[in-house]
Amino acid sequence: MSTTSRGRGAGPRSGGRTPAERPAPLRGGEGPFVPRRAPGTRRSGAGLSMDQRGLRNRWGLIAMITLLVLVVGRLAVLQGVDGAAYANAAEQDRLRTYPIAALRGQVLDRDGRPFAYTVDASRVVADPTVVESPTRAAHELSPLLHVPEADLTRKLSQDGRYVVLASQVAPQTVDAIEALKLAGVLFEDDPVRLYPAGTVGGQVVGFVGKEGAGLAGIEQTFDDELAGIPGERRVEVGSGGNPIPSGIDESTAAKDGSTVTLTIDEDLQYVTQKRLGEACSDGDTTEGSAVVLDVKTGQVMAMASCPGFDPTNARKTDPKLLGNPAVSDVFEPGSVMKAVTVSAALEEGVARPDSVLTVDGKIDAGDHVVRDSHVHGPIDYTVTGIVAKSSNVGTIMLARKVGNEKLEHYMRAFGIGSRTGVELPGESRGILESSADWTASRAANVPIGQGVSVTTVQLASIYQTIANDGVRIPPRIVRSITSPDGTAHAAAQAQATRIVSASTAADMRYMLEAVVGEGGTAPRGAIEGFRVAGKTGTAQRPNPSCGCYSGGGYVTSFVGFAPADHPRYVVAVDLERPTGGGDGGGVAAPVFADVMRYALTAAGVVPSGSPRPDFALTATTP
Amino acid sequence: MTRATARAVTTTARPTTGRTTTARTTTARTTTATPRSTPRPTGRAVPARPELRLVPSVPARTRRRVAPRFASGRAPFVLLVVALLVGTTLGLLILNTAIAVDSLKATQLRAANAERAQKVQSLQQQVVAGGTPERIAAAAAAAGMVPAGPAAFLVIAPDGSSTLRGTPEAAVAPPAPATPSPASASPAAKSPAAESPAVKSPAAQSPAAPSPAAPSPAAKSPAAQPPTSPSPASPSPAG
Repeated sequence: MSTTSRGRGAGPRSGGRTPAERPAPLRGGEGPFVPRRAPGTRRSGAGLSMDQRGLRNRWGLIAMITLLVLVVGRLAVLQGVDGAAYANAAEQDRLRTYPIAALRGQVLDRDGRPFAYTVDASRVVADPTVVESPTRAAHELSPLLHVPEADLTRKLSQDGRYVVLASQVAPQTVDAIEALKLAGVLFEDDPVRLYPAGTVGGQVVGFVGKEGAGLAGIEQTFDDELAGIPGERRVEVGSGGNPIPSGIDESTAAKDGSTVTLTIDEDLQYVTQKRLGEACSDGDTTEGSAVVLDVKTGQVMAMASCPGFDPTNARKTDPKLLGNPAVSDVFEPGSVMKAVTVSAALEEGVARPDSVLTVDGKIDAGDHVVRDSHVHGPIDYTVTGIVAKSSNVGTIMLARKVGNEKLEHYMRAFGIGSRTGVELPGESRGILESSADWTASRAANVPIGQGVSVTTVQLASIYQTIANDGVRIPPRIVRSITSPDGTAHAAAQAQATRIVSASTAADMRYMLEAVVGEGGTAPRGAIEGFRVAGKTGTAQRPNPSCGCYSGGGYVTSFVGFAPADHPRYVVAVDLERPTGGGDGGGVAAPVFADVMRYALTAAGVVPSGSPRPDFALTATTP
Repeated sequence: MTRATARAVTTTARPTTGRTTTARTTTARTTTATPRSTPRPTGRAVPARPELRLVPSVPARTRRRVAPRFASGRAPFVLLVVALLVGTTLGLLILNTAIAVDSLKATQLRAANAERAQKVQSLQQQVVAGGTPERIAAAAAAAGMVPAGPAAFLVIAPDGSSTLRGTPEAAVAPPAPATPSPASASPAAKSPAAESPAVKSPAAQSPAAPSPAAPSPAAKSPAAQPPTSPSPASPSPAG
């Protein structure tokens, strides 16, 4: 608009109107307050010259364009070059990321009954600066949270903006607290791991720590599978932190943990633990372990040790009790090891079940003399008799026929001195010295189960081999792993290995049956209606105070399987009795019998009905 | 210069007045400006400046001629635009309201869902807790049940004859748990019902019996009276 070009200079040139034409001024004709110019338009007829105007227009235009270019340039920089960063920053300002916790998988028994599972719970926290009346809030919260009122008052009054009032609070309690409408009391996700079976299977299942990571047992071994992968949800929120309906709302779903199904049978586990607990509370027994294996598959049906622990209270339990002694503690097995020695003798062809040996009451073994458990003169025992009567001397005689090197080979083949590979943490490999290092006394002790250490699981595995026609299947405790989408993956099967021939195994089953019942060392291992085979063990327990055997008490054990003519289960029981006497037949065999009886009954195993054979324990007069 | 200014004013003013139909009829300025071809200014007597050359009248003329033609078709268009604007605004408003309502509903449903999930969870928790061997054993003991003894089996041969395997025994009540007596091999007295043709005697077969019926050694305490024990484990005649 050209009128903009008029300036102050245009004023005096308004010659079109003379002062005479001016209407009479109201305040007199002249004076300081009289305008010099007539009222009306300030527009003058004359303007700037066209040159002036063109010049101004040009410069004005240049100035405008420069400014415009500046603005547009800046805009381009903001939008084009830095645009993404700014947009991102703005978005981030509005975006909230909420973690989605992955649900930890369950641990189930072989029939799908839960040993461990996770439920929602909350952590009750507070911002003391927002809490109006600490004493009143504490008074109202105390009965709901089961926390002393004084503690709550102290926490709610302290400095800072975050205090944890209670952890793992049930949803119902959270609802009740929310109904109180207390300012400054907040809730956070804090899922709780439940072990409904309590002590039953506690040592196998293990427990989780405060952060939810597995610290023992299956919880530890399969922590990666159980834990899952946490997800997160990113939402665009408005001023109050409320999600904008049509805004960004993207979430990465949490991948829940897989479910681990064990081979353990919860009922059998309960019975085993209950029976073992009774054995442990007899006053003399300090520790005991029991393992039940399925003969055909090598699966662990039950595994228990006493005293056990309840995973729910693991944090309050003496840390010394938190292990799983059935796989981690070794002991000298004693006579139950004779099964390995005799198997080696049979397999090597140096003896047969009816071979007769003249067994004296004692035998020289390097620097000391090994005696049988009861004093006797020379007796013509058959090998069956040696096993049935658990003769140390006879076994050492057989071992000498086999030779140290061969004996060590068979022991290692049966799994002694190496881990079974059961899916539990802290497994011990046991102790078996190389035969090259055996002294004369060690060479006499090892065949009868002294000077060699095994775990209860290893012991059970030896008898599983004999019961399974000489084929060893290392024990496994995990049946399958089920991913959250429901697909089950069977756990890797252990490699089956033939250790002794089927005929040797059959001979061993025959001889071990002689142990249980009349004439054997373990008549109390018998189960009504079933044929049972097994072996007692009474080992001297090293005295931890002196490192010698004197005053150490005994480890009594019984390992066996049933039915002897068609084995289904192996049960190994060992009891540490530092103060008590008693042999395996008297103390451990009843535990074996009760556990085995339940296992057979619950599985509906029908006895074959065939009678227990008559055993020739001593050489009959020809 | 003044005249030129005036001309400029009138030319700029014309389209403005021309746009509204009412203004077109009687405005003095419009009528005076109509004989545009004569370069005579109307209102003011201002000395003409010869060098004036600013406003070429051609575009103005074109515009003037075009404008009326549009003017007749403009009203519906304007109405359409206004209608579209109003419609869009209203539509957006309705849509936004609907979304907000739905979002509110979704939140409510989600809350209700969470509440139900919580309820299901707590119920499941009760079921699981009630199904543990320990609880079942306790409940069974409270109901007067006793752990089953050894099993006996009737095996039916293909020809219909049956053989009894094992020795059926009546389960006996365990003594007080305070005195766990060691296992004794003393055989319990046979129950008369044992001869009935039950396929399988122990409680393991009976659905009513708790599964963890432990064959406790204590069950064979000599003090117990086998025939009088309330025994769900004794062989049922239904076979």
